[in-house]
Amino acid sequence: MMAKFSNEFYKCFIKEDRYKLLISGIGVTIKVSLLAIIIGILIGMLIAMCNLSKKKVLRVIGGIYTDVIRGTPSVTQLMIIYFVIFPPLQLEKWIVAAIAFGINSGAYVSEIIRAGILSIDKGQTEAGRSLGLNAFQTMSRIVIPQAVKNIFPALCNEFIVLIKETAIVGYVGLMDIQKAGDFIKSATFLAFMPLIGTAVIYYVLIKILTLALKKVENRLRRADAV
Amino acid sequence: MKKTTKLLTMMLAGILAASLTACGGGSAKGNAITFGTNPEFPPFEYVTSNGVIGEFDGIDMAIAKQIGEDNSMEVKMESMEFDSLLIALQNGQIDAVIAGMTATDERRETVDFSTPYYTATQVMIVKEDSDIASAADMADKKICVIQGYTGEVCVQDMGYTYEAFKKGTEAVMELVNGKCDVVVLDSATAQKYVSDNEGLKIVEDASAFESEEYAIAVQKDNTELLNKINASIEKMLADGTINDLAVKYTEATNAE
Repeated sequence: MMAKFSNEFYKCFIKEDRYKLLISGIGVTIKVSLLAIIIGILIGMLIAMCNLSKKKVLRVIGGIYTDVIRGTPSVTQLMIIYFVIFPPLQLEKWIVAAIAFGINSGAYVSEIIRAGILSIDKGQTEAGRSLGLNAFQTMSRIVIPQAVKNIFPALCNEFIVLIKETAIVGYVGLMDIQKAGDFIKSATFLAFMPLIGTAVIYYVLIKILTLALKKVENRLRRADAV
Repeated sequence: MKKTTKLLTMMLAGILAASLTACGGGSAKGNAITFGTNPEFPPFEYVTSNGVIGEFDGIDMAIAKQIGEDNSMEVKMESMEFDSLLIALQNGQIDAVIAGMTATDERRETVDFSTPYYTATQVMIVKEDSDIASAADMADKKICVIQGYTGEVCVQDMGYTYEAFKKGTEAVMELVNGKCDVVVLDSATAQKYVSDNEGLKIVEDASAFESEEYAIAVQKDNTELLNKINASIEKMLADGTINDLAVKYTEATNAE
């Protein structure tokens, strides 16, 4: 039993330096996720502003965006963006993938931000305005700083979902952690070791991120108490 | 609020513009050729840490490399899902497809194929004690195939119901675990599965399964590239290079 286990482990990870595939896969997953998170937050803020805007046109645009993106699977979106929209631009694959995930994540982030801003009592805005601050100042100095604390935990959750979501980039031929595991699976004809290995790597990555984000969140809460 | 919106728009536009200018990539023309493949089909193409072209290795990869050397072109390899290969080829994201791809009439409608470089046939893998001896015996059995591969098309044409898996390993696992009775797939790969898993055997039925020919696909009317590829393949077929490669890689992957 033990010998079979170590033999499979050797075949899947050590033989022909297969662990190197997983390491470069980790790099791709991190690269795609990070850029996607940045794009997602930017789009999210933009769409949230649209949705909260007084102008009807902007609200309609924001509404359609969230509706369409949330209403279609991310695999489909990724394939549309890679095979239909971006071919003429000749961008690097991982950037196209990151843009696709960023666009997808933006819809969810916008709802998180919108909910966070709406959670701040209207009296705060009114107080700001009556103290002579203009709308922008009220938003940026009074409402948003308070909203951030409500937004942050939900946003962390969205990051974690996003990282796991990137496991589908194999569809456009990027070798992330999942795809590296798949390649090992198809080269060794073994299923257990590569799949469990893939799961462990994702788990550890997300555990590290969760701990780091927890620290930031605690820091935000501490500032709250003062 | 308006200012924030404006600022955000500008930032977003900036990021997009930066990413646009920063990277070229894609299929370079001139003295390079970009092949597309789906490296999950050993011994024809699979991923290893040091293959013949980057991390890609296998019979097809060695052939692609030789084509590059014959025409003094730099060979690049892009990996993607099998279903996406011909789309990427038509989009111009890749110059040619080498992926153990059968030159079917359906595919010929959208792309051109080179001279076939390898002839493969479909076989059935069953458990050693199975009573399946011909394709007709599959009628009331549970059949597994690999999605998008020729085996699926064959079983479909015979009118049997089947279950399609994304990967060959998954289909063979079902067979090993007793959840299905027979897996239909390419002979070269079938041999590898049988030597890797105890208690399995191959059943052939030449009358039911036509043999098929693997060829390289290029964009329609890309005669210049097609001629270069054909010249190279004909040379490799004549001097036995491809046969040697087939034996070498089948043995290498089977020995694992």
